[in-house]
Amino acid sequence: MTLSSKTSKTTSSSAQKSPADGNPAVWPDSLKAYVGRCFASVGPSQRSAMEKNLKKVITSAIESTSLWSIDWDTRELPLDGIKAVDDGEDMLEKLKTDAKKRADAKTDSATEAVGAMCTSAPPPASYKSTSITFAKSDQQYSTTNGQASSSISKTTKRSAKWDQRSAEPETTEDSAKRKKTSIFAGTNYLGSNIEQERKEKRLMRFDSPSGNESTPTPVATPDYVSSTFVQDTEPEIFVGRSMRLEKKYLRLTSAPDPETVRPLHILRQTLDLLKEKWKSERNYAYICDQFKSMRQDLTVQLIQNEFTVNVYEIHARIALENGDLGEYNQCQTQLRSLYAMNIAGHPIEFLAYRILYLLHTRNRSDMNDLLIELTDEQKADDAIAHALQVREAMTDQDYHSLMRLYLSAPNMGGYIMDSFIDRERHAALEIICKAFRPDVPLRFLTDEIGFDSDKSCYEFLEKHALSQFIDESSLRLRAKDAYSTAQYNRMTAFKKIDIKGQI
Amino acid sequence: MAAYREQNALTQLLNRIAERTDNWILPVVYTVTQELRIIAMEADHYTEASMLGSSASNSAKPNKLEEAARTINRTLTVCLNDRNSSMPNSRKWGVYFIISLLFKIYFKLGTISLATSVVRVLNASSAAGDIPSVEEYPKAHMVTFKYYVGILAFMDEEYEKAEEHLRAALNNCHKRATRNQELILQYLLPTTLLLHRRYPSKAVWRTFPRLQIVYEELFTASKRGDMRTYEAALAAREKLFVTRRIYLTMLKIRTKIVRPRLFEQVYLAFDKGTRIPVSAFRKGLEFVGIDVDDDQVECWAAVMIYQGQMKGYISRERKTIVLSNNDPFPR
Repeated sequence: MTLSSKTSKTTSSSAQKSPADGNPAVWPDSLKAYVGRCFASVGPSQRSAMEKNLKKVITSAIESTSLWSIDWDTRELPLDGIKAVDDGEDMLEKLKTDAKKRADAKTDSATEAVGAMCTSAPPPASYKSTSITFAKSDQQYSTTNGQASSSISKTTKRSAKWDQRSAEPETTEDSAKRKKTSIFAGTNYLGSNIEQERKEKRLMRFDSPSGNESTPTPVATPDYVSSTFVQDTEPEIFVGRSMRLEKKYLRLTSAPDPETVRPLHILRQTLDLLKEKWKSERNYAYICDQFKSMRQDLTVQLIQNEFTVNVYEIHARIALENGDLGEYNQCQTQLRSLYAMNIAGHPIEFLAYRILYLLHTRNRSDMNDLLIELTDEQKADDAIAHALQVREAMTDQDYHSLMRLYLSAPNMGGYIMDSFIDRERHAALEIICKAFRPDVPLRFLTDEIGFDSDKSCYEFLEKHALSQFIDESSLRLRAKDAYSTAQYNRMTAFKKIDIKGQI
Repeated sequence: MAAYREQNALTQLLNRIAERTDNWILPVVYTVTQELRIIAMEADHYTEASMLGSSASNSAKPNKLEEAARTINRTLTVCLNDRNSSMPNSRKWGVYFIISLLFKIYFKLGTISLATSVVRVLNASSAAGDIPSVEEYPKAHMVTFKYYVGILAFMDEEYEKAEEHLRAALNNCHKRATRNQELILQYLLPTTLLLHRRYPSKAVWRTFPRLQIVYEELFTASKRGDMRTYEAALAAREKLFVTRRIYLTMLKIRTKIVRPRLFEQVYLAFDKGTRIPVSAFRKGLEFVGIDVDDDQVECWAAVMIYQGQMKGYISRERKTIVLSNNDPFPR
């Protein structure tokens, strides 16, 4: 390893004697301290993001056998893509008080986790050359970046650097404050943009000998790292910098490109625009597509806050309104996990929808699980009480109650019920045709199978080959004659759902 | 926590060892996996308790039992995939013990879908003739297994299947294991009532006083068509039935057993007249505290006729229910 010896020459204090160079089981103390600092610098919600970044840094260090030669004390924290938090202020308070405690408590487990990841990723030979370049470049970077030794001054330096770029003077008095704003606000769109540039420059300096191309390919740092060192293909976390409000949805097949991803503040404007457009144009295909791309941008940037909930809720409602249960269900699934994180929204409203949705898919085990977790408080809510009554009516085949509930469904519950009400209408018609003799008036059917007018009821019967059994003069359905058709209708209606839960 | 880590590591190690041996190792596997489950639960209790102590923000969740389940699931695979030894020495004899253990964990965790998928895996291999039928296994293994499969069927509203499995479990249950019998009967009693309208004898209540507390009042009310008592008793036990996943079945009993009995009472009050006005049934319902309109009564009657609990037809024109001359409320 010629290169590793070369690099160890340039390193300073922390390059202790490396007894097991390349053996991931033994780590330098400075690295452990570094890992500790990394975790101390982020909030709990970004822990996994940090873990990912750390994993990369350490994997590359091990692969290039520079684990013992890198000066961990002065190395920058891998804050790429650690997302900005909306309620940053709360976070910061917590951070200040908890940072130390957490650092102490978590270093062990975190170190363990990262260590385990490293051991389980043997480096393929072909990675060697690039990884050495990387290590070297970092080495270079840490030396040019000065000899700060403690984590605090280190971060302050980073922020100072950002601030210089954005032409803001900094005093030492408020350096602590700076630190936090730079960690959180800084990783917002602007900050990472700058960092991005810097990394690209570095990348060019060491990776491409051809040097100054006027248009550097806009590769995100995590992109570059992940494509080079890490085999897992999970999309990386970063902040996009697209300024366009609208974007067509495209299923991602490769790592996302930050040029086409909109950062949070743009997405907020997008949402307002879409709301306006939906009100004026009501073009569902367009709106659905736009919302999907918004959801995608939120996902790849790991943004999970009230805005995210808002986007999913609005999309879910619009999808319901248009009978798009597949899309609704995707939103619902996301919303459940977002609510579970205690992000404010309308969990009760959507819980009621979920009950109705489970009735539609006839998912008994999920329904059971849901019922067990229902609290008395939730049951007292009107929408949920309604959904539970619907469930009871359906178990009882009580079409009379069911149709009353259908016509009085709160919120957008009626739209979900739309998706299974025809099925239940067929069931009701079969029962009626079996039990009533000799005939029943159309008026009665209209009420009992939940139509608001005799006309729409008649159309429904006509569509399903039942109108032929209606006596034209008296407008009564001959129950006995209609029974076999009604039975057939019911069987086909239920069979469809048996095979596939969604539409 | 440390104990859990060690035990989990031990089990994983044992899994690897067991892969290369035959069934002499099973007793060891039983003990170790059993203990892993218990220690994992202890560990989770401990985490929960310490979470209550400190003011949240601790990211560690009590998830050791889930992890243990994964390890034990691996053990199951080791037992199932014994291709070397001959049947008498095969590790396959451990299958049902391990599955029962997994069921216990999954039910505890409330991840019923995982239990169903284990059953599916098992059915696939027994269909292929890979493992002996469950009757050839030790009775203890079989009883636990049948009990859980019975409950799974019960929850899926496959009552015939549930009855078959639960009955097999009960018949093979050790006669002094009253607690286990009680658990089985907890599901079997409502199942037989719903399927055959058969009621347990007094002896059952004597032997299982707890079941008596839960069920006797409901069952008596259902026999008499006493909707009011049934509703009240059901509401009082709602929480219990919901957590045990029995509630839905009790609702079904209400529509399929209790309500027809009430209608039968009205029929008897009319001296078995075959033409009874809808309003008479409405008053019957009113009498037990259910205040509904005639259309609702007709709907309920229609459902009963449809499901075969009542024979006859409804005349919408005359607002009358015409009952069959011959046994209008068949058993």
